[in-house]
Amino acid sequence: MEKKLTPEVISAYYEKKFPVERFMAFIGLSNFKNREFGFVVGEHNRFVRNISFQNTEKMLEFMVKNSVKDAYVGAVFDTPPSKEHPIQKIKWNYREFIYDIDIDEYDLVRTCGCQGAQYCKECWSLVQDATVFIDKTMREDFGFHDIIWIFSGRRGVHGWVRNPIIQKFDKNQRVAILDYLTFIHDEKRSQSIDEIPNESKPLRNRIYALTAKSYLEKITPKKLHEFGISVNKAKDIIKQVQNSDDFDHTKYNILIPNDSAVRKKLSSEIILRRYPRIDRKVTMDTNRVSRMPYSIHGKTGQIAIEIKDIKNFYPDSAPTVWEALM
Amino acid sequence: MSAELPDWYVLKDPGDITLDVDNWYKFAETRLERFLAEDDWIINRPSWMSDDDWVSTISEEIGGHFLLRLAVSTDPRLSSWLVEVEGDLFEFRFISSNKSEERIQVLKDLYGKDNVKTTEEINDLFKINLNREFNLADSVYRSSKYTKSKQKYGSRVKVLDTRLAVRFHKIPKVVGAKKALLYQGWGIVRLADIRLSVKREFEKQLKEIIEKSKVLIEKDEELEATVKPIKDRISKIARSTRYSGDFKNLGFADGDEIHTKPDIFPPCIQELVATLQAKGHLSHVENWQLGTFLKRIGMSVDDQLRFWYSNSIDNVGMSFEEFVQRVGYQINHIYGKTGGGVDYDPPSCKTCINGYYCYWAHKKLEDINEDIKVKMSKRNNDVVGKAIEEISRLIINQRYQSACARYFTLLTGWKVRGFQINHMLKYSQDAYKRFYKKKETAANNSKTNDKQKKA
Repeated sequence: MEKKLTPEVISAYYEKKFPVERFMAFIGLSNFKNREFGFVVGEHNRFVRNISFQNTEKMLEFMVKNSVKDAYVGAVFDTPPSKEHPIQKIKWNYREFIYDIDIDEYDLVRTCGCQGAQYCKECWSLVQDATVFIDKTMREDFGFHDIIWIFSGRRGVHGWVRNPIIQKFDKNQRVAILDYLTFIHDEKRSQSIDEIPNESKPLRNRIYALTAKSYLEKITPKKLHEFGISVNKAKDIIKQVQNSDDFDHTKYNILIPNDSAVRKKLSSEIILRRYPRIDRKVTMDTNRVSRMPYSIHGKTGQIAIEIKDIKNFYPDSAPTVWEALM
Repeated sequence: MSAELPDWYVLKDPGDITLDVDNWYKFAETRLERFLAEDDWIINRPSWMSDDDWVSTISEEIGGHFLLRLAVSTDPRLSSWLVEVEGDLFEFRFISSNKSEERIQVLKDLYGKDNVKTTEEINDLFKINLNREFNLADSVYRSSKYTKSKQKYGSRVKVLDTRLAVRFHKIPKVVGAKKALLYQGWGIVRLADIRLSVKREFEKQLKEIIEKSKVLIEKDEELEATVKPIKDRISKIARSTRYSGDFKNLGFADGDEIHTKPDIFPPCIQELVATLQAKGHLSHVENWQLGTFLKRIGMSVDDQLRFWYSNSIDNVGMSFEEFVQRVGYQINHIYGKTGGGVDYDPPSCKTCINGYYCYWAHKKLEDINEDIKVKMSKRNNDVVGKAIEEISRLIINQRYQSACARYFTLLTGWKVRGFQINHMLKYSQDAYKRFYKKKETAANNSKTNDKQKKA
C-alpha cells in the first residue's frame, strides 16, 4: 500500500532525523543568514522563496512548523533575502555550480520503454554514465575537485561543485563550461550532433574511453554493421570491449576500423545514445533554488541523500522518510 | 632577466613623464591623424634609432594617448570610438610583436599574473608533457583554415600557432567554442584562438580606465577647458568615420512604421528580439543595442516602453505605469531625454563584435547554419548550400562583417559595396530599399498604368 506523506511525518523527520550538521557542512557556515531558501508549503502546495534564516534553529523551526513538502536552497546575497528585500533587489554574492541530470532528458533515446519519470536499471545507467563523465571532466579538465553528487529524490541526480572560485562565476563563465561539454543541440527535438573538434582532445578521449565502452558493450553486431563494419569485425569489437577492464581511447582507436566515414557515423551515434544530457537552465541560472540536500522529496517521500558510489546507486536504494523515522 | 611590459602597451603605468601642454596637443593630434591614416605603427625599437629618440617617440605616443583618454571621458560615444581604434592598434601590435616574452607579460597584466603561463611552465607544474599527452604536434600546421592567414600574415602564422596557457575562466568564450584544450583548469590555447578575447579584455580595461578619468575632468574645470579643443576634434573625426554621421535620415518613407517590418532587421537584431521574447531579458549591452536600433528606425519612446513591457520579465506583477517608473529612465536615456542628453546611435558592427551582440561572431556556427537552412527552406538547395559554405568559411576566418554581407546577398540578391556590413542601420536601410521601396515604386507604377489605361 502506498504510504501518505502527511504533515506529521514531514515534521517528525525535520525535528528528529534531518542531519543538520551535515547539511551545514555541505553548504558552509559562513553567510548562512544571507542564503536564500525556498519551500513548498501548505495544502495547496504554495511555493515560497525569498526566505532567509538567522541560524539553523530558526530554519528547522520553520520547516517543522510548516511541514514543508519540498525544501530548496539558493544563492548567497549581500543582505538576507526577504519579502522586503527580494533577491532581484539585493546584490548576488555567490552560488555553487550545479548540474542537474534527469532521466527524462533521455526520452528520445531510451530503448527500454520507460518515459518521463519512469526508470529501470537499463535506462538509469544513462544517468550513471553521465555522472561519471561529468565528474571526471570537472576534475581533469577544469581542475575542480570539490564535487558532491546528491540524489534528487525522484528521477535524477544533482552535482554540486563547491570550489570557492566556481561559486563566484557569472552566467557567461557557467555557460562556457556547459558549452564546452555540449555536443547535442536541441536535445528534445532535432538532436543535432556536433563533430568533436581537434582542441577537444581530453573530451574526445573520455568519450572513447567511457561513453563508447557503455555503448559498444550493449550493442548488437547487426547495429554496428549498419555503420559499415563487417559483422565478424563487429562481433570481435563487442567481445573485446566486454572483456576489457581498462578500455580507453587508445584501444578504441585500435579496434574501430580506420575509415573516417565509419568513425564519424559511429561517434555521432555514441554521442546521441549515451552522452550526458544536462538541464542547462539549472546550471546557468545563478538565482535558481535547488533541492536541499538531505531533505524529503514531496512526491516520493525519498530523501535527497549524498551518492558515494554512483555506479552502485539506484533510486530505489535511497531511503524514504518512513524508513528514516523507523 | 625577467621580461617587462612592452613600451607600446598603453595600459602600462608610464612612471614619471613630463609634458608641456603645447606638445601635449601636438602628440594627441599626431595620434589621431595616424589612426585616421591607418599608419604603420612602430612595434619594436628600430635598430637605427637611438635610445633618446626611442624614449621620446614612446613618450609622445603615451602622452598623446593620455590626452585622448581624458578628452573622451565625458562622452560615451567618443569613448567607444577611442576604445575601438585603440583596440585595433593593440591587437595589431600584440600579434605583430616578435617578442613572445612581452606578449606573455601583456597577458599577465590583462588577466592577472597567476592566470597566464607558458606551456613549459604547465609541464613543470603538473609534471606532464602536454605535447605527448595530447599529441599536439599533429594539429598545428595542418589545419587548412590557416592557409589563408599564412598568405595574409606571412611569418605571423607561426606566432598565431604558438600555444600558451590561460586559466579557463578568463577566456570563457574560447572555452565555450571548444577552442581551448583544457587541463586542470588551464586552457591551452593558440594565440590565433584567443586574439579576439585578448583584444576585448584590453578594450574592457581601457573603458574602465577612461570611466575613472571622467572624475578628474568633472572635478577640474581648468582641465576640462584644456582638453576641450581635442575633444571637439575627436568629435568631428568620430562622426566622420562612422557609417553616415546622420542616422536621422535613413530614407524610410514618412509614416512607414519600420519597427513593424522585422524582415529588414539585421540578423543581430532579429536574434535579440527572439531572445527577449523567449527569455524575457537581455544583457545590459544587448538592451542598449536593441533600444538604440529601435529608436533610430523610428520607434517612439512610448512604443518602446510598450515593447519592453510586453516582452520583459521585469514586468511580472507590475502595471505598465510601475514598469515605466522603474525602467523608463533607461529608455529615456537612450533617447537623450535623461542623463547626459546625448542622442545615441546604435553601435557599429565592429563595436558589436567586440562587446555587444553580433549574430555572426557570437552565435554557434552550426546554429547559424541551421537558422539559414530553415529561413531559406523554399530556396534552391544548391544556392543556399553554397552560401552556407561561404558564410561558414568567413566566420571561421573571423570575417564576421563579410559573413553578414554574404547573407545579405543571399537574402536580397544585392551585392554589398566593399563586401562587408559596417552598421546595422545600413543593413536595414538597404533591406528596406530592396523589399519595400521597389514594391512601392512598382505599386505606384501600376497605379499610373491603370490611370493611363482608364484615360
